[in-house]
Amino acid sequence: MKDDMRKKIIKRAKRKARKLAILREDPRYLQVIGRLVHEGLLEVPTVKGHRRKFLLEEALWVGDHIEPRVLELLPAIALKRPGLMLFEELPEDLKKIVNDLKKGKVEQNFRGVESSQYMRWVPFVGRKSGLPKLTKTFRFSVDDQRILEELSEEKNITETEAIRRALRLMKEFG
Amino acid sequence: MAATADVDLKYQIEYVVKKKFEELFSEIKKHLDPVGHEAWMPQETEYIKIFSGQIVSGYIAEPVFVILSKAKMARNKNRQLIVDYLASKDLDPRLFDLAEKYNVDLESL
Repeated sequence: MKDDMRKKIIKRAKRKARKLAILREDPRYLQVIGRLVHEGLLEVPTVKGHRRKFLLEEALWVGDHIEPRVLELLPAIALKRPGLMLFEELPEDLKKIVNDLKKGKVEQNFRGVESSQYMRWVPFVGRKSGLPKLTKTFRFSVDDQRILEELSEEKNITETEAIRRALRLMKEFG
Repeated sequence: MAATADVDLKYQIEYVVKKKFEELFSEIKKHLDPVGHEAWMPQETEYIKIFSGQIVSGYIAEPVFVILSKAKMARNKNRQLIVDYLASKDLDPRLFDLAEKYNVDLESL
C-alpha cells in the first residue's frame, strides 16, 4: 500500500478516534458499560465498574453508536438478568428473541448481530448456566428403562443426567 | 477499548483439558469461546509465549494479526477497535501490507 494512502487512513482513523473518545465520556456510556464491567461481561480498562442499573434505551444507544458488543449481550441480559436494566417494556424485536430463546429456537438477527453471536452469551449471564431447559417426552422399552435406572443408581446421578452424559459420549466418540 | 471475556483457542483440545481450562479461566472471570477454534488467523501470525509449563505452553497472537483477523471476519462489531488501533501509537505498519494481501478494506472504516 502506498505511503500517502497509509497516511490518509491513519489521519481519518485519528479523527474518528477523537470523536469516539468524546462519546466514551457520555454518561450513558459510563452507566451501561460500568455495570457490564461490574458483572464481568465486558472488560474496559478505562471504565470503573458500578452496581447501578441502566436504562435499556441507553444500552441500545451505546450499542448503536459506540460499542456493538453491548448489542451482542442484550438478548442474554433480557432473558437471564433483566433486573440489570430499567425498562417499561422490551422492544418488539427483543421481546420476540427472548421468547424464542426460552423455546430454544432463535433465528433472527438482533440489530445487526447474528443469532449465533448473541446466543453464545446466554450461558455466561446470570447464575443459572446454559440455555433454558426444554421438556421432551420419549417412550422407552422396559429394557431401556432398566438400563437407565441401573446407570442412574451405579453412578449416583439422575436419569436425566445419565441421558445427558450418554449424548455427550456419543457426540464425542460417535 | 472494550473486550468481552471470552478466550479463543486456536486448536480443538481434549474434553478433559478443555474442562480444566474452563475451570481455570472462570477463576479469572473469563471463559472459552466454544467456537474459538474456528477463528481465522493469517498464516503470517506470530505468537508471543506467555507461559511455559512442563506439558502445556501458552501463546497469544501479536495484536496486529488479531486486528487483521477482526477486520476481515467481524468488521462491523470491531469497527471502533480497529479505528482505535489505527490511531494509536502502537500501530504496527505491517497491518497495511497484510490488509492488502487479504483484501481487507481499511479505507472505508
